[in-house]
Amino acid sequence: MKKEGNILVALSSEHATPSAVQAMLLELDINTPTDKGALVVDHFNYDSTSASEQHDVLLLPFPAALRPDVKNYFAGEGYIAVPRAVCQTLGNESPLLSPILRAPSTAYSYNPKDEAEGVEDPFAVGGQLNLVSAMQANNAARLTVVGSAEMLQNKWFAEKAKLGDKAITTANRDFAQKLSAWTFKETGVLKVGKFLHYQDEGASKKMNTSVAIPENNPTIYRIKSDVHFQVEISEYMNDHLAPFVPSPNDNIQLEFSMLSPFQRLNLSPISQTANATIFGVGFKTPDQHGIFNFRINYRRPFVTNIDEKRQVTVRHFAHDEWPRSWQISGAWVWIGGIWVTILGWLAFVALWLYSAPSEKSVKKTQ
Amino acid sequence: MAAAVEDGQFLKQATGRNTRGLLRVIILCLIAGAAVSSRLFSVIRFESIIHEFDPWFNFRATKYLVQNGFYSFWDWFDDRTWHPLGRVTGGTLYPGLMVTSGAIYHLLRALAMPVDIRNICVLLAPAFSGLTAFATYLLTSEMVPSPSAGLLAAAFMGITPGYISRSVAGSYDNEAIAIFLLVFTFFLWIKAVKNGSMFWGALAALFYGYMVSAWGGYVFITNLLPLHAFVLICMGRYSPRLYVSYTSWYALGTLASMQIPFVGFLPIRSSEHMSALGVFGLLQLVAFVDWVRAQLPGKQFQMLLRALVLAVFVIGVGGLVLLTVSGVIAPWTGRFYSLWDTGYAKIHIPIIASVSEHQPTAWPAFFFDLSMMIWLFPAGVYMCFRTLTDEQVFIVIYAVLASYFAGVMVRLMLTLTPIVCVASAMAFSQILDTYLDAKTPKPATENASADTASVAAAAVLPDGLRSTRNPIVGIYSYASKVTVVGASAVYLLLFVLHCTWVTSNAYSSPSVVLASKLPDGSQHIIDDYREAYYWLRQNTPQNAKIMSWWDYGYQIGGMADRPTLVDNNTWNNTHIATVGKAMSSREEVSYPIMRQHEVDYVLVVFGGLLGYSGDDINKFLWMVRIAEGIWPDEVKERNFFTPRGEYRVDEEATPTMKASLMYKMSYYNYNALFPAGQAQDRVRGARLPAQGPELSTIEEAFTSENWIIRIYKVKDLDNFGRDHQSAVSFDKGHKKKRSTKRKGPRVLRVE
Amino acid sequence: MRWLQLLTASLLPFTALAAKKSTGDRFQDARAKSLSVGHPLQLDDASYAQLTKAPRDYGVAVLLTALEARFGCALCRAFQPEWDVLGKSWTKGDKDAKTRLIFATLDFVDGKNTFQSMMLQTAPVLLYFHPTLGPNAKVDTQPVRFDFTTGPQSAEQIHAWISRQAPADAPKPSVSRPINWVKVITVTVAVLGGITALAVTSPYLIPIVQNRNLWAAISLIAVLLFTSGYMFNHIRKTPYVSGDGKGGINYFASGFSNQYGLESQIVAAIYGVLAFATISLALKVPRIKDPRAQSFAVILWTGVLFGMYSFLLSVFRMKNGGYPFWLPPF
Repeated sequence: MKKEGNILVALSSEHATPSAVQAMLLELDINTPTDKGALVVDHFNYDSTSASEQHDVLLLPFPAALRPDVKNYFAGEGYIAVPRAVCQTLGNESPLLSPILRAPSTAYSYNPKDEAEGVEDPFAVGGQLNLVSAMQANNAARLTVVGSAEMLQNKWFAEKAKLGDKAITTANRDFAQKLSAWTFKETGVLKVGKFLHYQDEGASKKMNTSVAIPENNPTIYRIKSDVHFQVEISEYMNDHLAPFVPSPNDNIQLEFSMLSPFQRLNLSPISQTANATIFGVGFKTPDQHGIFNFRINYRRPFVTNIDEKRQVTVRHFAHDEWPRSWQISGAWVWIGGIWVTILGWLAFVALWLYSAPSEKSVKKTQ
Repeated sequence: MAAAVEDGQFLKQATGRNTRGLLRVIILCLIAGAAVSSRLFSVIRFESIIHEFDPWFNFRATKYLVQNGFYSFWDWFDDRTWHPLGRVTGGTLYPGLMVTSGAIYHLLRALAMPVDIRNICVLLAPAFSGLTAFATYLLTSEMVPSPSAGLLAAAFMGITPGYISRSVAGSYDNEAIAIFLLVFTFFLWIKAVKNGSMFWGALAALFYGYMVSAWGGYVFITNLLPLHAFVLICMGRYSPRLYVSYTSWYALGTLASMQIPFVGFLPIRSSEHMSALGVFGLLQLVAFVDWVRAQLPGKQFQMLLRALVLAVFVIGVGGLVLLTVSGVIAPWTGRFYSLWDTGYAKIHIPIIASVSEHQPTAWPAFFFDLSMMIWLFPAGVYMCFRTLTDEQVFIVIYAVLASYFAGVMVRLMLTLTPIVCVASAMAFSQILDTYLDAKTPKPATENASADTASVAAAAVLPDGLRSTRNPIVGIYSYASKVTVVGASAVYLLLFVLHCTWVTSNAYSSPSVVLASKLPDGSQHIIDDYREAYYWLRQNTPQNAKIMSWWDYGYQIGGMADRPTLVDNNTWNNTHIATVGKAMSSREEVSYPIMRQHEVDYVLVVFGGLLGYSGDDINKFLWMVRIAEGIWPDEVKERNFFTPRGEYRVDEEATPTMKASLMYKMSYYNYNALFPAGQAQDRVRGARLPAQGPELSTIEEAFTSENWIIRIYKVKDLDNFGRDHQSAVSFDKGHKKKRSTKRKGPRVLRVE
Repeated sequence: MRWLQLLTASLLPFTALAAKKSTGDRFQDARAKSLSVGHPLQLDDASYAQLTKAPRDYGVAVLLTALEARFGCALCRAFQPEWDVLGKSWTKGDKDAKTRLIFATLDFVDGKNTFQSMMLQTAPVLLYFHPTLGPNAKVDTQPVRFDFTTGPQSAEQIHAWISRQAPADAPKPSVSRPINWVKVITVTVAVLGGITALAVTSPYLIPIVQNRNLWAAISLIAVLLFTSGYMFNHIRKTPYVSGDGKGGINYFASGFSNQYGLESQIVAAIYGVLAFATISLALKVPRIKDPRAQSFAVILWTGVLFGMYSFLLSVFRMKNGGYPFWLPPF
């Protein structure tokens, strides 16, 4: 995974999980029960066809979006059968982990081998149990842990099952396809295209949306000048790049930061090309010189991270960029004073020169 | 030199003015030649390289100036230092030095002599030292009638170690040209006061402006000239000459100094410059009173006027104090203030106190830098009291003030050196003139032969010095003459030997390249600094940010061409304290700081293997102190000392010390060089703990040949969102403990 | 610092009743008392325990000190007036008791047990107890400790320290020192007296002030002092002289950048003799009318100059090991 490889781990309650795998998962903050044979049982959402006694084949609807602002890559119709699953619990601290398929609130983990103890102190219960969970590392390598290897088997791809009294067909084929597509980066991969920023020289110039211009950004700006920024983002959909549309409640944000963001702006889509959306925003550089970054840091579950930055320098006013003295009305008094002094001195000298001889004669007489 | 003066004396009677003039020019040229060549030790011994720290910045700025032209230099915003704040370099430096060498560069090119800008920078200081010798000659010639004094002073100035210390080849610093400007400005000022000439006053102002553009030490002139004028007024020696020269100097000089962006409005807003303004005002008053007195003779009225002057003066001073207190006029800057209140810097501005140049001077340093002149100097000052003309008053004031300053700060030895040369040359030439006189007086008669001027002065001034009351007779016996002249020749020879020895041994090391003697006597060059800087240059991306202590900022910028966080231009104390905090804290604290500042590499200097004492562990307490000044609750100097108050690095070092990033970086893997448990720090003579420190958030990237420079790379965030400690321990094969064994309530995932 | 819990636990039984009754008022009581006495509260073991008992909705700053002369704690006595000033101005400036901070002093004589239970070896120590109840409470019940390791502190410095410990939003009454009327009057009288004296004695003073020899002497002494490292002694506070471990005295410190007080005076004297010899040779000798006396003077001064310079070089060689030059006698 350090080299951006992707892994799909399938666990089964029938075989003990190898300790190396367990340790690896643990390192990623995914906990699995230690003892062989522990599986998830639910007395309400079970498949009464195949596991009417054991209640260990769960039938679940497709997962809903994790949060309102997250795109759902695993939506579908129908029910997924999860037979004899090994559950996982996820650590709370890592933002890289996300559950894909959670157990219903009535499920619990239970080891049929030692019944008495298992029920009293279950490994985890309810929504804390994850049947399928995902981890996306900082370098976008993906790891999916599937609790039940059987659910990916042909046997369950479109099996008839019964939830309570309702007869249904499992939709495992659909789910497995989506799961593997996601794991092996066929969906949910974002790509940043051109990253443009430029000085806004005047109102007449429109925002540049042409595709042909290469990324040729200035490296230095002045404080308090207008800057426009735009970025192309596209999303990889199974076999082609498509314009990326964030979920309705979500925004991609641009930070203009030095140590901490001076500007944090929502980017709005300006236009779409065949395979990318162009987001853009315009703003004024702050009154602080320094080395700034245009930075887009977009991290959401299930989509690859965008963390792009471009370093620019924001410089102070050069000596010839200040307004000239006569343009400042407050300076007129002083300018006037200077000229009066100069003229007065010239007049005095003229007067002095003119009257010099007579002065001398006066002194002499005194 | 003594022989040359002898020649000059013998030829005095024999030939005309022209020969003597020609001889004087030749002697001056020879002195300049000696001055230049005695500064070339380092070039011959090492190579043509820029020295030390500040010169590297000046060199980089000069290159920028030469490449981009003057205006872009003027508006230079440097985004490769003080990351991420940047530095408005064009507006915060003294551009005189760079512009001078830029001008020389373009001049030489125009003369079809394309010279590398680096060679100009390396050789600028020696070239200007030749000019300084000339300026000293001029200044001394204004003081006394004897021409030999001027030549002696020039020779002294040319080779005295006190000046060489800052002007060897490669020491491309502001002082290189500033001392010439200082001496020359003083010469022009003396000339202006003597002649009462507006022309010389304006010239003095011009060179004062040049001086302002070259060195922050211009404040010395700004205060010395008004003080001279003030003392002259107090002595009742006000004259229209003084009025003309001072006002023309002040008005033009202030305007000139305000053209430098770094100085800007300081001349009318800061306390350092207020004395010049105050004396300017006082002079107007005195001139007015003088005029009125000439018009209206009346004893009572004069008394009234005098009282008026006094009252206005007192009110003026009171007003200044009031303005300072209310904040209209900036109070003294810390550096300047610490000159008067010597304990001030230690308490309030550790960053100033931390610089070795700002330490007080012990007497051996005076003798080391000035040798024989140190005792000729008081004699020369005493001789100034003999006639005490206006310009000799200047010498006395300068001497007393400069020796005080040199006593407080080592680096101000530089301002003392010119006056020492002038005064001691006066004393020495007096001896030589007296005892080299070929005439022998007749015992009975009193026809004084030499120094008619001083006889006349003694006659005019009844309150002369005790030692000069009797008229001069001369020396009778040849034996006495030979004795004294012989002894003087020995002293002069010894002086030359001393200067050469000091220059060659103490002041000719570039400090970028270290030299050591091998047991067989051959020289071994230790080139770790450049090795490491070139490693950075070639192996890191163009924009990799390097964090190091500020001492090395300029060198990294100059040699490695990589952005740094802090450098020797210590304009932002908080930023330096941030680096200090990162160095002196635990890794977990330092890492977010380094991430926030986008640090890619950390550079430390470690002398433990080689016994190089100027390393970072020895400077570490200053980092701690400076950081403590800003974050007194997070960094505490106390925690770096053992309970018994010792600063230790061995087994008994405090936990804070052992956990600090600086300690870990210095001693990381150091054990591996030695057999188990034998690791030894040769600077501090301490045996290190058997178990070396562990690093998790940074990794070693480079260590130079003698371990002087160690460079570490800051790791990226862990790929799997773990903290670095656990990631490292996992990679070593330690498995994480099962979290189910954890005590306490189960932590549920909230999302 | 487990002592606090132990202390509280041991004292709990018999203070429990009283505490129950007056918990709400402990702060007000202490404040009123401190206001009335006009300086920080004087505590003993019992009142200390009572004041700093764990559930409290106010902060306490206690100075543990040893004022009596027999303990020889100069630092304690130096700091005590500053502490009183700080406590007084804080309590007074805090009109509505918004800071909820009590200043108190515990002398060793009154609080031996407390000192022992904390195993304190040194004094003074300043403790700051955070409130454990109320909006600014901290979970950590242990007091913050300030050691006077850097010497005596001024009230302002301690004020800054306490302000850092105290809750950020609480007001911080600044230190106000009472005006020292005696000093003001003395200074005024002295200045006026000085001016009067100057005016009266001016006919005698002016010749002295205008005396050239006097000014020459002053300048020379200043120059000699400064060039012989007087400022170094002043700033670094070097010892005047030190023993060599065998009962003798070391006049010269070893090391290039190190010196003793006496050493710099010796050097100044050497410089002075050398300068005087030079002056004599240059100015006095040519003015001697008698040829024999003149020859004698020349020999004398040349000899003195030579000998002294030789001695100076030998001293310098002592300071700087590798210095290769010398003159015959020494």
